[in-house]
Amino acid sequence: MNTPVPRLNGRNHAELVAAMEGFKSGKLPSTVMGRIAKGFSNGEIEAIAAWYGGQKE
Amino acid sequence: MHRHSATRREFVRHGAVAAALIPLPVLAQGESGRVVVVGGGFAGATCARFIKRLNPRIGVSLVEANQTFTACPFSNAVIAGLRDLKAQEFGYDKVIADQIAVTLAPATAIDTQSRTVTLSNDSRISYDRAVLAPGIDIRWGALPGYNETAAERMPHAWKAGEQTTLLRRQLEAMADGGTVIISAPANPFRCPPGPYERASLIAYYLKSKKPKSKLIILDAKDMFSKQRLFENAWKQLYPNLEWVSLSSGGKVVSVDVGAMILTTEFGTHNADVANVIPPQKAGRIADLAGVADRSGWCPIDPVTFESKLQPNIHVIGDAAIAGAMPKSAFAANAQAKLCAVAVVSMLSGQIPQPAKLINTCYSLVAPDYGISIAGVYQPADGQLKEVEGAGGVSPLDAPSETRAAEARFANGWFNTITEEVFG
Repeated sequence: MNTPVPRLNGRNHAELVAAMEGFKSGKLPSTVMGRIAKGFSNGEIEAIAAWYGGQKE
Repeated sequence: MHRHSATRREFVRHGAVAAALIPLPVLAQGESGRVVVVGGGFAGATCARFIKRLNPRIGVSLVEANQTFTACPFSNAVIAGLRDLKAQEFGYDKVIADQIAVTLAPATAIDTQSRTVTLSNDSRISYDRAVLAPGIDIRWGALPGYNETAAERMPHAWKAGEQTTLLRRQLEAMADGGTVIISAPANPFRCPPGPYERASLIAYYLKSKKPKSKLIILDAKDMFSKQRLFENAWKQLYPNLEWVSLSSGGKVVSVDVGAMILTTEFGTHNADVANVIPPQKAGRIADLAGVADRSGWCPIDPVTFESKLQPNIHVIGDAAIAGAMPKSAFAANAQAKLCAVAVVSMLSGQIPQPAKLINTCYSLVAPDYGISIAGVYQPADGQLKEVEGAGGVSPLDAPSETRAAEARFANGWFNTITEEVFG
C-alpha cells in the first residue's frame, strides 16, 4: 500500500513501547504522534504494544 | 449461547401472547446471534467486518443504499481538479468475502418491537442487535430557498459523488474574475474543518488557473476548526480568499438560485459559483428507528454506542452525538471498532468495558501543505470527553517540511483507512 506511515502489526513490543514513550516525552520528534501518545498511560502503552506485537504482519 | 437462553427466559416471563407477537430471530445452526448494520461507510462497513472478525459465529448483515461507496475525505481535492472521483470510490466485494450478507438496497423501516429491518424490496432482516451508521442527511427546508432542486444549481457537495463533480464542473466553467461563495453552517455538522479545506483548495485552483477571481466564505460561526492555521496559510497563499464570520454578517439566511444571490443577516452577495453547505441531521433511518432526538442527531451510551432512546440499537459515525468527538471518517472508524467489541460482548452476556478512542483529521491547504487536529477521548459523565493534556493542532510556526510531511501523511491515512474498511 502507498503510505509513508509504517505498519504496526507484528512490530517488536519493546520497540513500540520505546516509540510511544519517546513521542509522549517529546524526545522522539513527530507530527501527530506526540499529541496522541500524551493521551495514554504507561500501562495503556504496554497494552497497545502487546496487541500490535501479537498481530500478524 | 448465553444470549439465546436469556431470550428464552424472557419468553417465559412475557407469556404466550407476547411469544406469538415477538418472533425470535431465527438462528442458523451454530449461530450465536444476528446483527444488522445499516449503512456501509467508514463506520458501518468497519463495524460489520470487526464483529465478524471477533466472532465468526455471529450472523452479520450489512444494508447499504448505494452500489458503490464514495468517500468524502479528499473529495475537496476532486473539486479543485487535483484528483479523480474514481479515487474516492470503493465497492463491497471484500466485505462480502468476509461472509457478511451484504444487501445493496435502502432500508425503509425498523420495527424495534419485532427487531426487524425492512428494505425497499419489502424483504426483512431480523436482528438481536442493530447498528445504525447512516451518516448525514441534508436538513432540507432549514435554509429558505434551498431544496433538492436548488442543490442542482448551488451544490452542497457534502455527500461525495455527483454533487462533487457538479461543483467541479461549475468551477471549470466559471470565467476568470468570477466570485465563488461557500456558505458554511453552524455546528454540529459533518467534517468540521471541511469547509475551510475546501475553500483553500478552490483558492489554490483559482490562483493557478483564474487568478482574477475571488472566494468568499460566508459563515454561520465565529470560530472554526484549525482556524489560526487556516488563516495564517490563507494570508500567506491566498490573498483573494475572504472569510466573513457570523458577527460580521456571515450567516446566510436565504438563497435565490435563479438570481444566484445569497442573503445574509447584513446584505446580499452575488455569486458565479455558490457552494451551500447546509444544516444537517442524522441519516433518515435514524428518525424512522426513533433513535434521533429533537436535535436531529442520536444520543448514545459512550461505552457501548447503544442508543439512549431505543434498546438493542447502536448508533455510530456522523449520526451519533459523540460528545467531544468530531463527525469525521477517522472517528467513525474508531467508534465502529469499539461498538463491534461492545456488540460481541453483549451478545454473549458480558458487560463491555470503557476504552479510549483516537481521532485525527488532516486538511490540505495546498497539495503539499497539510495541517492536522488530533484528540484522544474517553467516556466520562455519560459522554465522550477529551483526555486532558493530549491532542491539539499542528504547530503554528512549523517549517514547510512539516507541512509537506503532513500532506503526505494525510494521503497515507486515506490509503490506510480505505484499505482497512473496503480492501
